[in-house]
Amino acid sequence: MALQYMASPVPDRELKKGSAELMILSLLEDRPRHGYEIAQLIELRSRGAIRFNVASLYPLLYRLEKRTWIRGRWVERPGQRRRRYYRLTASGKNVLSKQRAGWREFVEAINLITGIQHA
Amino acid sequence: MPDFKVEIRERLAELGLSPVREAEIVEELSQHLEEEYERALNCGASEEEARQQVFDQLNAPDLLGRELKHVERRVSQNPVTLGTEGKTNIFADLWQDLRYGLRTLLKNPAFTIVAVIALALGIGANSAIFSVVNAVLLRPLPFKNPEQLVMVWENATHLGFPKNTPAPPNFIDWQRQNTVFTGMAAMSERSFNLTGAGEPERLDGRRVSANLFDLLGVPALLGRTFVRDDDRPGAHVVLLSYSLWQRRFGSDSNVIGRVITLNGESYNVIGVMPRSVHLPAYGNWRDQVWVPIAFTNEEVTQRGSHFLDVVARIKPGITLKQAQAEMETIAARLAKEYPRFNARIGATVTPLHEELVGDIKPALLILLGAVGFVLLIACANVANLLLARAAVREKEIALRLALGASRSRLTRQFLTESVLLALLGGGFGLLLALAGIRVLKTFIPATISQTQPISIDGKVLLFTALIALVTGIVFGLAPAVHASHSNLNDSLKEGGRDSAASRKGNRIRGLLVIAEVAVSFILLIGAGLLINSFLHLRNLDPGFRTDHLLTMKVDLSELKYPDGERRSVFFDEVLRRVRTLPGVQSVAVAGNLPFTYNGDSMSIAVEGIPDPPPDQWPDVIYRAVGPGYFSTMGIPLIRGRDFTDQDRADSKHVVVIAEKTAQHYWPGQDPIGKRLKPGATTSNSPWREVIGVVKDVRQNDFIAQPKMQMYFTYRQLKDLAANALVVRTSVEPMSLASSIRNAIWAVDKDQPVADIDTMDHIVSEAIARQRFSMLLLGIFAALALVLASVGIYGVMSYSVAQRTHEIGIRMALGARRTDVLQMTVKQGLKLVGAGMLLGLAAAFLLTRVLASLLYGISATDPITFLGISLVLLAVAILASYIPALRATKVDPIIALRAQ
Repeated sequence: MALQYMASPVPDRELKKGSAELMILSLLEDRPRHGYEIAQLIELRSRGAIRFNVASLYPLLYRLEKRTWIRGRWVERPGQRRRRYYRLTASGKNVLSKQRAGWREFVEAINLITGIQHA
Repeated sequence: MPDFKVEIRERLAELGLSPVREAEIVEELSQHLEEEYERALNCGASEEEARQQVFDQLNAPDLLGRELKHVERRVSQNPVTLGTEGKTNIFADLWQDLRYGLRTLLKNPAFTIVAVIALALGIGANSAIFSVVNAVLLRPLPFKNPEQLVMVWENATHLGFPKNTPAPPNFIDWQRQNTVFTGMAAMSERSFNLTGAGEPERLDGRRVSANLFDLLGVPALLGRTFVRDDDRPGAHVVLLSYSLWQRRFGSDSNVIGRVITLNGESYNVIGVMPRSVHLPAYGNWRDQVWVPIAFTNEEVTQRGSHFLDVVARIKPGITLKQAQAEMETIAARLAKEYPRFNARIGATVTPLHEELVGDIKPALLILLGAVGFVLLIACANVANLLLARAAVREKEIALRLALGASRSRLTRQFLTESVLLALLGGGFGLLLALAGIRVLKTFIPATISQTQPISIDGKVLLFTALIALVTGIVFGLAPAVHASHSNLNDSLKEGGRDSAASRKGNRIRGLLVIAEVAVSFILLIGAGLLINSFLHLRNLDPGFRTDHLLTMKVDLSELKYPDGERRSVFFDEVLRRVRTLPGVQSVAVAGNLPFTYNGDSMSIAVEGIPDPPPDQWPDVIYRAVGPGYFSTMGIPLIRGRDFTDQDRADSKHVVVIAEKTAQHYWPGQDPIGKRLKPGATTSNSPWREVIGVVKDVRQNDFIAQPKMQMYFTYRQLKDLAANALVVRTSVEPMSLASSIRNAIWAVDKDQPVADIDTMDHIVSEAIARQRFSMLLLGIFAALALVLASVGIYGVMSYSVAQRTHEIGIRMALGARRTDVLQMTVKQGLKLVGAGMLLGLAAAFLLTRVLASLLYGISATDPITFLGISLVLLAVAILASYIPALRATKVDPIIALRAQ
């Protein structure tokens, strides 16, 4: 059963936002992608557990772009219509590594408390 | 597929995004939704289900709008014009244009420098002249409500004096009878010998009515001005000028109450006047002290003695015309009452400002017009440069048009560039004006510059900014319009050099050169006329030899030298000492030197001729001189003899007359031995026998024809009319100044010696205004000529460069160098010829305004017109010959390949 991301039970709005940012930045780490691709990948890799809504994905992309962590560019390919591709900028890479570290610490801390063990 | 765009756009509407941004978001989101829709269909959903699924994403309650609001920026809502960069915000555009313009200007430093110099010259000249106009014509006089102040004159036009100085009894009657003035005040120039403290000094000063300064609305800087009680004989109080107070009294604020000695009498200092007080004066008269006028009993009864200047303040609500009308009525009444003196004497009321500014006004306005012309020429030049550059930039322009820039946007861009250029020119022009004003001050007539300080004030700055702006628009318009009308296709094609647009550019360039030539022709004609007229003036015969003549004022004190006997003793001793000085050829006593004084005339009775009716009594200028005056001055004696030491108070009274007087009273007869006397036949002054006739001398006015004159020997006059020395020298006159002064002080150590000057300089001062106009117009015309020739040169060079290909073909086909030379020069001359024809017609009309400034030639003087035409033609030929020469050096092979 697919879980609408925005309707997911994670309570903290900031936490949600933070994790969403982290997901997007991670997905752009190896190559530029367009918005639909990002949404697809999130859904795919979370095995449908997390889905992005258009109304929340794009504002987030624009926000990241504004912070200059990612940069969007219209790209035309022969035989296709133009699409806007986002790539990670240098400062975005920086932020990504920090957020990753922070997230890891956070998850480990939660695990210690809740006693959940990795399989 | 459903149209998601409309749905998305609806949700963005309230965000107020810029249209471009909105379009981007709509495009991106709709793509996403369309793919979601297709995926849903692929997963087996019906169209309706798929649509519903997709819309649900959008419809999470106002999520999109809310989220985007945090990210996206609202912009001002302006309609978007396609092809622009999305913004039509005028200020944003302006900023962009400015930066772009500045970059373009910096990229072409040679062009920019030439254009800025041309503009700086034009604008600088305008600002400099405007600062003079501003100071002299526009700035109000430093008095209270100066527009109400007038001067009132006796009108004796029938005697040649349309503005005669009123006589005291007339002034008193005017004062009593008028209802149009809040007050009237009289003044009269008088010189004072200041003695007692330091070097004796002769001071210019004035007797004034006690109410004068109240009337002008000028309070004393220190102490007080006069009160009614001061205005009586015997009240010895004095007001000091600011400069005298600074110079002689070291700005001592305790000067009030001090007693100073003027003309041997004690005066109590009651006040110091501010620096700004300047009253109308003749020549170089500069008031340093003021005393109450305190008319004597004799003065208030003499209706024939005219020596006052009268200032009045018109009542609020009364016009100049009404004041004039009432004064005429009063004058007519006085003429009936006192026909002996006042028959046909009217009254003239003139604004004080006009009196102070005088006849410089037309000259200044003409100069202002002339610098305006210079600026026009500079504009034409820069417009030409811009046009030439626009031709080079044609491709750039076409490209921008093709990319969707609107023509109006391009026009604005070009105008911004030209205004930027003009403002740069204006900035440098202001610097030039600052320097120019310094130069102007050195040869502006003192009577003008001292009335009001000439400086760059807010008004001048505003004027400069304004003309810079207008200039930028004027010279930028042609290239801007031209550029924005260029034909896209022609310009973008390779070698599109001979496009219709560039042909049109050539036409505009040609027209600009024609205009430049026409305008500079007008200026040159104007300058030529003034120079010619000035040469006429310089060559006027003043009636005496002005070279090697030193003059000085030696005003005796009436207390110390009350009678002719004592004066003779003093002067005889001074002459004896001066004569022995090395370098002195001769020396004589004189009274009121030519061009330094505008007065001393009287009506005379001639023995054997009945007295004329009162209104037809001609005035004869008289001067009191000593023996040797005529030979020292170089005034030729035509008949009879000079005065000698034997013509004394107790011997037979004699007079020397000038030619014109002789012809008037004794036409065709020998006047020697005839007799005349001052006043009417019945007056009790003694008859004087004519002993000599001398040549006419220009006395009061260098330019006007000499009036009737006569000379008395100072020894036979009761009045103290002899007040100067003239010395003919064999060396540079000024080198003797101090030794002569010492010789005078050896006779009387308290005797002031003032205004030591050469006669050459006095004459040159007398024509200072004419020289001022001539020099300035000359400079402007020269500037115009240079600018115009640069313009002709520029256009011809450009045209030759453009026609290289054609010239190459011609030469390949066998044209000789001389043919090419001829062809090119002919092309230049066609433009110049058209300009000159146009200029000639305009000059015929415009130089008429110069008529009032011209002497001895007419405003359409054919010699000037011809001479100037030749000069302009020669310069024009030269300016087109140099590019033509370059054209002949064209190598046909290279020229053909160049295309």
